[in-house]
Amino acid sequence: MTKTEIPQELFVKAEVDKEAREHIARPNLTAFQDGWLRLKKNKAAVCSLFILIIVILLALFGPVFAKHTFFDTDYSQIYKSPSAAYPFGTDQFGRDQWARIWQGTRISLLIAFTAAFIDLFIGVTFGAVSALFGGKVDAVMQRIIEVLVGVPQLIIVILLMMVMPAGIWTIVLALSITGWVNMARLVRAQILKLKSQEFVLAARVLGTSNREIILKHLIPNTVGVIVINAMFDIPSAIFTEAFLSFIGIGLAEPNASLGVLINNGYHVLQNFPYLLIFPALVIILIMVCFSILGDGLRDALDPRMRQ
Amino acid sequence: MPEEKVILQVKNLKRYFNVGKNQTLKAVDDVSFSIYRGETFGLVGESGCGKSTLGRTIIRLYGATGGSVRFDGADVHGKMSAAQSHELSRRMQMIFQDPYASLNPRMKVMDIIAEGIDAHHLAKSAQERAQMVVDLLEVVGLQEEHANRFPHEFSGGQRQRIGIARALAVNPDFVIADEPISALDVSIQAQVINLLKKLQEERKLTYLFIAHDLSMVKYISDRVGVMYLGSMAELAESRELFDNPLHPYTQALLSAIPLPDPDLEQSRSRVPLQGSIPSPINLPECCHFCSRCPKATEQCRKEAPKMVEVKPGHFVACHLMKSPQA
Amino acid sequence: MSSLLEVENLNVHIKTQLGIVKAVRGVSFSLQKGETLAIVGESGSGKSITVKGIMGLLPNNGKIAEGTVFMEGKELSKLPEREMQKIRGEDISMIFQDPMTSLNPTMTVGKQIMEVLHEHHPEFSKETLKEKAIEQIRLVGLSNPETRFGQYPHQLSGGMRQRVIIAIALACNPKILIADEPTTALDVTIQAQILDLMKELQGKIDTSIILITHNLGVVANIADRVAVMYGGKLVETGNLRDVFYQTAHPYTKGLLASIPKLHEHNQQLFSIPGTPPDLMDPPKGCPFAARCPHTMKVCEAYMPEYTCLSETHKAACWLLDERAKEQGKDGADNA
Repeated sequence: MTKTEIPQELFVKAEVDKEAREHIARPNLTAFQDGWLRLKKNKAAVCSLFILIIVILLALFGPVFAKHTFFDTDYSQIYKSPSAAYPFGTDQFGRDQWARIWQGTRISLLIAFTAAFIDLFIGVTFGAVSALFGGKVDAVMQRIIEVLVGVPQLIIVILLMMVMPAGIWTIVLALSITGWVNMARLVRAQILKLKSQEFVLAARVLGTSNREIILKHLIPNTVGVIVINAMFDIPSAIFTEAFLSFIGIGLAEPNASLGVLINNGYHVLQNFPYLLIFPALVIILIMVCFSILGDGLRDALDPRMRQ
Repeated sequence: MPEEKVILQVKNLKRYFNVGKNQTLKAVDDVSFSIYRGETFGLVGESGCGKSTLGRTIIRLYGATGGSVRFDGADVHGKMSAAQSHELSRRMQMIFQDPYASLNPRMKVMDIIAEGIDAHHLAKSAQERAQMVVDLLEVVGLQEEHANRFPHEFSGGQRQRIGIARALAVNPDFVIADEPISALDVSIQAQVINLLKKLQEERKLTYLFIAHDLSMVKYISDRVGVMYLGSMAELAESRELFDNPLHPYTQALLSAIPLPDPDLEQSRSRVPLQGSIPSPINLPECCHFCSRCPKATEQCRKEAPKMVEVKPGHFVACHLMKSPQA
Repeated sequence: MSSLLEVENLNVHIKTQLGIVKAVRGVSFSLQKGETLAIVGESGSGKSITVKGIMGLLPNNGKIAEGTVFMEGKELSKLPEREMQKIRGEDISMIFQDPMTSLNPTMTVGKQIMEVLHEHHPEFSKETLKEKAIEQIRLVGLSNPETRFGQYPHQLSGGMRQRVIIAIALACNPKILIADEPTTALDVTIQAQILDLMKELQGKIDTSIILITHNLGVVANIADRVAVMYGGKLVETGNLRDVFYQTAHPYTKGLLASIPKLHEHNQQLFSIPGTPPDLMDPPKGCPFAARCPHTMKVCEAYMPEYTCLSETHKAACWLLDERAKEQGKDGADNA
């Protein structure tokens, strides 16, 4: 349309809707919806989430579909290659590897989630108390953390395994003794940062009580950091558990974790590689997916990324 | 103006920070002034001059290292009951600088504005609380539909107005506006300033307006104080200060503002100011401006000047003002 | 008069998660040799994106959707990245807003200047480079150039850092200097020093400057020509005096009226209501229609074209159209 074609009648004063001047066109999204929208755009993270859900479902229900339990031995069926009857083959006692892998995954995930939850609980409390009280309390609590970081984790774990019976809860305890330190540090840093933010100052100026400031301002703005760190805690716990089992101080037979299975498979790698490959694949899948999902969540939950 | 009643009296206020071994940052050093009921007191100075620290010390976000702040006669840093202290936090409010950092990103506008209402139990029911928020939104030119949104959906100017509504929710008498417009665009700055002026008239508010933009300070303030490195350099009525600046720093500051008028801007002469502000840590006992002052004398390098009333209501801290030639 | 830089109908789109932001919509301007062009606008008006588009420095999610940028007959938007890099150092330099983050904190000031010089004059020996670097430091008015040469950025104040950044930007005598809010992060007294320095250096080395700013005082101080941007569009452009004294566009008028004057008393401050448009979904007509005090029906429906008010001065506003003037007195007259 060129200039001259515009009708003359349009050259009259228009009523501008004053309300529209302040109108916000964008959809009304909660922080959660906004985060989910962002996560959905991240193909790798969504893929990882999907794979993780499948792995977890298999860990929960995989053994149910197996014809054998994970501890049934059948000496006529030792070292069978994968087949219809035994999808992942059998081991040296003729146990169904399919059932054992999903049982192992179940235990590995159980250990990892429990350890991550304990880390979260201790770490958040410790970090929050340290940051909120400040001063001498903070100084003492920080020294405790430094001492814990100074002692090599492996030594603590090995010592602990020597005095306690081998089992899931020993490993969980071993993982949790020092595992929460990282969470405590991150939470402390985040709360210290938040404490000097203007919205917290505004709350103080308004006379909001400390309890309300913690509940309404500090905790909701720390959730992102906590969730993301927990996401990275899980693969690292799985890895540590696998490592402990692999060097022989983890779970005892006939119980299986992914680390135990990999250790068994490693001994017969040249003849029966499938005994190593399948559990290794599962552990890689879990670790990679958790890392990618954690990265995706960090990008999605960070309010600074919003436009 | 003797008939006007003092609402806030700051006397020899000091606020020091320890920044390492034997290093003291005297952010506010021996500052005294009074604010009268219903006026706007402007506080200007460059970054690091202590103007924000002064504001935060007055409102008790920081404790005072020395001196006193009296609000309606009560010493705000002195001993008082929890109820008195709570009431004081209702009567003194603050508007913050950064419209992005001053609103909790995880709270809805409704809850942000109602924060003070909740803290002081000003609403009897959830319905009354919602109605109060909607009224406040309208006061600052926003609408009911905005109450259920999150801060990140708003523009800077809208967010700043939400911050103003939050401060007004508790019906304060005295509001400290800490650089409320420096993060905003020019056309939005005027909106916020006009809103603050309108609210002052309607609600009989007293403002302490902290800013580095002198033209805005002049526009909104009745009296203006100029700070340099923790101390007050000059204090006078707004018009007097801008027409007749006496402190060499004020003169330089005024002449450095670029004016949005090409003829005026390109023809006027500036008071040249060498160098930049020295580090505020461990300052020697002297006039803090002496390192940049074009007229500095021996005396300026040896002792700090005292505030002198050279004309009624016009105070200057400068050794050159002792002689009556001013 | 052939111009140094010619921007024609530039359109920049930025892809975000929620949709495409049309950040720059059909901007055209030219830059003559030796002049200072100020691009004025609020945040989100597209002024920074415009020059980033010219420099080929758009973020990864941004692209030039349409339009051309010619510099001395070369089309910059079509050049491969490597040649563009060469032009960025030699012909066009850029100064950014934040003097804190523009310098490498682990390198001495002298080294950083020498590095830039070396990049463009590989034939220089180390001694020559050092000499030239010190000369450059002296040029931007820093005291004790030899001492400054060996100092790290954190040892300098904000104003000094901005001087170093200018020294680096001018190290290769660029034909165009693009300064993106060079004084916004500085205090007024330091801002005045930096503006004086930029004017002085422009006289010495005869470079053209594109200054991006929102501060009309800075514009009045240093610019020869002004381009006002709003909502991704250029709404008014002209010589400094045209824009300040014969202001044609209601947005520019509003902007000027919303700054309090230091030398007048008891004035009423004008404020433009509302907020700038969302460029994800820009209005069909004039971007300022929703905030303008003189909006006509045509403004909401059609994008105004440029009306030339003089040889140098043009504005995009329907009020300047003949038909709007015929319509009566509620138009431009009482503005």
